Amino acid sequence: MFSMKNDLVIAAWNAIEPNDSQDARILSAILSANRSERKRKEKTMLHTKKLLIPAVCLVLLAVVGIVGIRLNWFTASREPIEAESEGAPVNDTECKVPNPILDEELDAAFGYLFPTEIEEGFVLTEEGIGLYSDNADALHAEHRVLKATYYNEELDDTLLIQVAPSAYFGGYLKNMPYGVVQYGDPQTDGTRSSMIFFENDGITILYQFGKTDIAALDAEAAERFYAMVHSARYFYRISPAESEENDEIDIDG
Amino acid sequence: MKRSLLRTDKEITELYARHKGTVYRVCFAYLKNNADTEDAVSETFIRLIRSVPAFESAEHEKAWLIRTASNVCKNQLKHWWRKREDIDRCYDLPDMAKVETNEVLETVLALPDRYKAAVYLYYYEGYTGAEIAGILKQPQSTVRNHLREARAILKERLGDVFDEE
Repeated sequence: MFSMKNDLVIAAWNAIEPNDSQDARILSAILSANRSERKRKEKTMLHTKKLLIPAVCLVLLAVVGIVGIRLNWFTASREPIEAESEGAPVNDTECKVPNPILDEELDAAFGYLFPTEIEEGFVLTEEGIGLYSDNADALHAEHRVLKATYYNEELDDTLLIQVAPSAYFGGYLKNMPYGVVQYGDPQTDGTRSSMIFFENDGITILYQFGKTDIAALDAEAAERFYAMVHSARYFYRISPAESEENDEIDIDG
Repeated sequence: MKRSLLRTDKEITELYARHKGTVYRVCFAYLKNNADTEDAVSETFIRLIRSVPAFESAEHEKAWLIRTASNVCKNQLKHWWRKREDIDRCYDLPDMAKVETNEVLETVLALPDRYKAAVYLYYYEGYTGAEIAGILKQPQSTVRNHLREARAILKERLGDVFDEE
């Protein structure tokens, strides 16, 4: 690569070079700049290291925050949230509650009492099924209420199913016998709600029609309604032979 | 030879020793006096310290310094306060060592600025046109034109003294 193309030019250029004093001044300036640059960089690195721990903490906090918000760790709303698919609702812990309820967590708390078969004619309303917390601070089963509202076109009435720890219903059901149709106060239009509830292991399920008298359902409608009630696994698992020894519920009152 | 870390004083001293002649000559070609050349050389090496480039080879390092020196000098010449110095003035500077110049050097230094780096790299450093284009980040055709025009000027002014190959 290096070829002497013109000796005269080369010789002339060779005369150009810094003398000793220039050399010393230039080198001194360069080394001084190098030292101050090293000092500056080291300071920056030290500063960066100091900021690293708080920065990592902030990032972790942000990650926890984002994940927490997505999983609703920090909120406990009483309002159910609509699910993404098929209108199935989700509870306030984003737990999907299909119909019938199959979610394992729910099974443990409410699953034995909730009907596994919803009879034809009962259609989930817009509110659908939702899990509500009656205590924003705790979402354990004992603090949750499952509400499912259906509309029956034939009856032109709504059916509200509620499952909750018996204590939740408190005085409302006090002194009311299980498995017996009960009635609410008459409304201005003369109708009154009717309800029937069953209990197992401290969990109560309540069926409540808005204006239909459960006791006065015609044979076919009554059969469908009680078939739905019977479809709950709590009833299903009790065989007729065992029923006398076990606390089978006389749902016909 | 890849380096991107801060250099020690020893490394900087060695790097300066390797390239001081080249950088000084490139700067002198533009600035034509020792005082400004000294500043430009310092500035060139300080830029290297501050930008901490990672070089792949000694040639890469040298090329970087030549291009940076060229840019530093061009920037200096752009300043409005900058008075272009005549080559003779370098003899008049009191504290500067005199530069032994001859007719050839004076003619080369009198070339237009845009030719100087290419002429220096071609005739003194022995780079090819393509290599010079790479170092100066200019199109090869531009470098070829600069060399051709510079050669014509040198031949015209130096006559037989300039032995063109």
